Amino acid sequence: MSRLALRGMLERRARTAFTLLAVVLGVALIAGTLVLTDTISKSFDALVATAGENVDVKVLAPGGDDQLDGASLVTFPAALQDRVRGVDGVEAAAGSIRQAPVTVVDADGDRVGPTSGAPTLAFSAVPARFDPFEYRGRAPRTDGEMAISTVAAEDAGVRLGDRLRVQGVDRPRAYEVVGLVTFGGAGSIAGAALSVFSLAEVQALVGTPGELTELDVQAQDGLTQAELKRRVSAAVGVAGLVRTGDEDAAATSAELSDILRYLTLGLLSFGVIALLVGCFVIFNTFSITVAQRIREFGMLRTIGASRRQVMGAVVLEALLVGVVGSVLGLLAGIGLAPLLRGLFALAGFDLPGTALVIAPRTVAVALVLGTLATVLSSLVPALRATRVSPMDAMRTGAVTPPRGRRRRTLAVECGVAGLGLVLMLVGLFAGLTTSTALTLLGIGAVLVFVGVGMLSPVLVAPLASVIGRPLAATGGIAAKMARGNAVRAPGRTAGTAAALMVGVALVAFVAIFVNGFKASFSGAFEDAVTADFVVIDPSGLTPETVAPAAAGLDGVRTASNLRIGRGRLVSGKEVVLAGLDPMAAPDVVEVGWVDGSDDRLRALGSRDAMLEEAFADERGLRTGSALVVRTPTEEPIRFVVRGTFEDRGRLLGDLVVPEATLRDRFGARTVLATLVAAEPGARSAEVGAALGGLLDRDFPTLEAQTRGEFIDSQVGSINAILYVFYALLALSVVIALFGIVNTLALSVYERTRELGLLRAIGASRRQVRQVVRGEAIITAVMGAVLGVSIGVLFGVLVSRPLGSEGFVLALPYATLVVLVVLGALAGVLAAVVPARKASRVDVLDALMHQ
Amino acid sequence: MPSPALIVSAVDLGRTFGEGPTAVHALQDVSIDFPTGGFTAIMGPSGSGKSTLVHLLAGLDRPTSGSVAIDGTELSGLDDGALTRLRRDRLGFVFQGFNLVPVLTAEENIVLPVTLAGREVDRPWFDLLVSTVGIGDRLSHRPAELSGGQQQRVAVARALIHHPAVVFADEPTGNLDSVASSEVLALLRRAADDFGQTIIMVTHDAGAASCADRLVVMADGRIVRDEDAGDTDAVLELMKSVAA
Repeated sequence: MSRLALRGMLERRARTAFTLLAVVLGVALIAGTLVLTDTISKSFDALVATAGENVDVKVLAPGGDDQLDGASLVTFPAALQDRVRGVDGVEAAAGSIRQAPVTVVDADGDRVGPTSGAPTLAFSAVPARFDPFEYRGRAPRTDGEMAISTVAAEDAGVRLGDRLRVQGVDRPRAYEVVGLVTFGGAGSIAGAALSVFSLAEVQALVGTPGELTELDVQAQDGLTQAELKRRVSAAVGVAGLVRTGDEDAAATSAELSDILRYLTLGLLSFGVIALLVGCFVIFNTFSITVAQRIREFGMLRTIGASRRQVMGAVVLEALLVGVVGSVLGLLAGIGLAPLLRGLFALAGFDLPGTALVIAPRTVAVALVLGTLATVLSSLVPALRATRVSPMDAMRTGAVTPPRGRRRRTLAVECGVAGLGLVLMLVGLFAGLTTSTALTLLGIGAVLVFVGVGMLSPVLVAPLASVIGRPLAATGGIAAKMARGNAVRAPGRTAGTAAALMVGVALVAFVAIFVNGFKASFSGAFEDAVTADFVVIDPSGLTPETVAPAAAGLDGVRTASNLRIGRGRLVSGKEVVLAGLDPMAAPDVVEVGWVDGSDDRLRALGSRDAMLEEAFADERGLRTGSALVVRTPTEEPIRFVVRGTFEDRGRLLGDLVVPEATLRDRFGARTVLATLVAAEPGARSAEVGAALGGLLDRDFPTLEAQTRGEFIDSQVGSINAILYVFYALLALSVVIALFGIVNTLALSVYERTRELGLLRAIGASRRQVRQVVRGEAIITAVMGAVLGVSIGVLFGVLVSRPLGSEGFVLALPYATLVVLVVLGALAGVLAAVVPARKASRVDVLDALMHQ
Repeated sequence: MPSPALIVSAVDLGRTFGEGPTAVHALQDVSIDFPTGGFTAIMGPSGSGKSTLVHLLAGLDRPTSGSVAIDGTELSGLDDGALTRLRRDRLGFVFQGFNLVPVLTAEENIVLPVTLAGREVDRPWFDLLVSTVGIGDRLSHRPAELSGGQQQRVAVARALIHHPAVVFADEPTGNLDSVASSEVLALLRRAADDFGQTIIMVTHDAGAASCADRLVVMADGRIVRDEDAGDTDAVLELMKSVAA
């Protein structure tokens, strides 16, 4: 029996190859993801260890282990450095400021740094023993010098000796480039560009003179890290957070692996989707071949093969395909990992490189998943093979035994789809933890796909006649035959379409979700912001000094800062604070007051806050209540609630406080944006030009955007994410196309005789190709239509719980139509080879066939 | 009376399969003419070359040597497209089984050669054919819903729909019971008599051959007898004498 399985596979080489591909691609993406993220993880760990080689103790500001966001640096006074240097057993100690976001521009005012939206981070130079970086050229020594990371330099054509301007919290400062910097060989850290300056310069750039974010301490020989930590802690007291070098490295690694975990899970889920689509293809291919081999199985049963042996022959074939496919997939995945890294590098996300890490876990996961998926997909066809009776060997003519659609199976199929839907609803609405909810959503979605896939044979006839109609109008009799062929084996057509359905559904869902997000954002912005211009640095900091400068321009009524800061409630929950200038804000924003007014806002004191209504409701807070928020340096601040407002887009965060409070207490040294309102009656174009002139002269990194431009740029940045999703989902679509090719090839083989007849009575090769192509188009469009429908269903479902967060469901009709059209084109593409094969059948041979 | 025009003419036809010592000469130096309007039966034992001859005459296969002309057109000069158009426009086919496209109705199958050519169906002719073959009530049925005899009658109607120069029938009654067989043969006979249709039929059934006007007997790749067909007994006698 095993020899039979092997021989069969070798004989049907083309089909076996396509079935293999269905396994290989999914497994490759899974294995590639694991290899890539293991490699990144290992190289980061190695980097962190080498970079901190001489750091035996690290001192951070209280709360400095929890940098909430780049805009608000958590610092401590530099005086602490002298206190630590005086500790017995300290060989050396050097304070620094690290990871402060800045913006770099060249002499022409063009941006130097990531185009992906990732920040450029400033570091102060430290003595060589603590320096984590490598330099081409050298590290900056004086205040007029800087170093910049290689990737950013190459992209902008910056060379040693060039002069660059850097903007932090105020007007830009000029520097000469004396070094090009890398970190562990990578020209960026997770997409961010690096820049190095003297300590005094970084302090000036980020507006923290006399302050540090960290202090590296080296122990004298023979002193343990733990002992040094004890001594330094005693000297520092509550003024700083002290860690051993090992603790610090572990904490950094943990932060990185947290980020990596999302990358891993994200990429893995695309691998699983690809594998799921592969399962549809495998199931379908095995179903068709089992049907075509009915007589062979009948013959085997006649000569004494047991049902188990027949089943074994089919499952063994699947096992072989699964094992070979998984091994190839694993190898392809190892090859894919550097490609994925290259893809990230192209997107400005340069990852440090070491030798690829191929963990035993990766090998096991790839082999087990791939093999299991293949064998499971073959079980139903294998069971069907066992139902062949010896009598079937005698049958001539029709090869597929008509399979009555029993009511029981219909119930099962509806049940699977229904259960999937219920799981999704529970995941969405039961208020579970995020990971449980996502798991339920995932399993639910898979069940919906499988259920709809199983149900779809019922839909084949009606859908085919709808889709076939426009085709028949142009293709005449060929289209009619194509439609007939599609309906002839509904299970086969449905299974083939279902594979495409999965990928299309997810593409449609992502498109719907992103479109909804865009619509929600622009709607919320339109509602909440009345300013005529938004002055912003698209990927850096906006200095607070823009506002006073802009306010002095002709035609400007008000220029007011919007600051965003973060803090924590006593419960530890992170909250977002928006800082507004109470007097000026009513000119630039329109707050949707629930309990309050612009006048009350104007009267807002430094310890007063306005609360977002949903946030207040959840906590039982109302006007007059008190709320304690801890600053990033752990300082508790008690706010009195002066009003509540509705903010569907959450543009103003959870609570609004005076701008000055956010700056002075929460370390928000820069602003998110400066909102500018023109004088009534002033010409917008003139005000815009004046604003542009000011920015070009004094703030070259900033842009003055009109309301429309601002919305477009914000929404546009989402498109980059959209394209990454599309690219990853494209793999699933490709696998589904292989499935269509496979099904068509098998159908063409099965209909050789019929094709010969058509050719004999005068059908041209072109007409034969049209028949095959038409069937492919019908199948593919069916997959696309089902996919778009499920995508819309998922979009509607997921938008419900998000409605309270201001999410507006907005269907991207054009995109959805394009998806269906692309589906038709995909069908044309998939049909190329089978159609050519069909048109080239030798008429005489075909007439003699079977 | 002027001699009727030749509709099919073959000169020195030869067809060899394979090469070298294993080569099989399925047909050797066969020359034969078919005048317009005749009903010819070609008989012969398995391997006699009768099917090969018909395949060559119908342009389904290309001869190793010699030439075929249909209605004045020399086939050897035609490429695949021209041959396809010739089959579509000038020839009709009835095969032993699997004659119809399963996904099309009986009516769609009948008019298929015309629709493939993108032409209008000659409605009066269609109606006449349908009433002649007697399947007027089954026109909207799919082949799977028709009996074997009905399917073959639909195939005959399809072979006649476009007024072909000649109809080739390859064992048209091979899969049919005797009642259905005689219905199909009567139909072919009527086509020859009433419509003046030229018919060339391959068969190994003496009863079928006896319906023809002319009987060509083949053996070992050559024509061994070519004479007027008699009744069934006469045909059987003739076959016996050839086999002897």
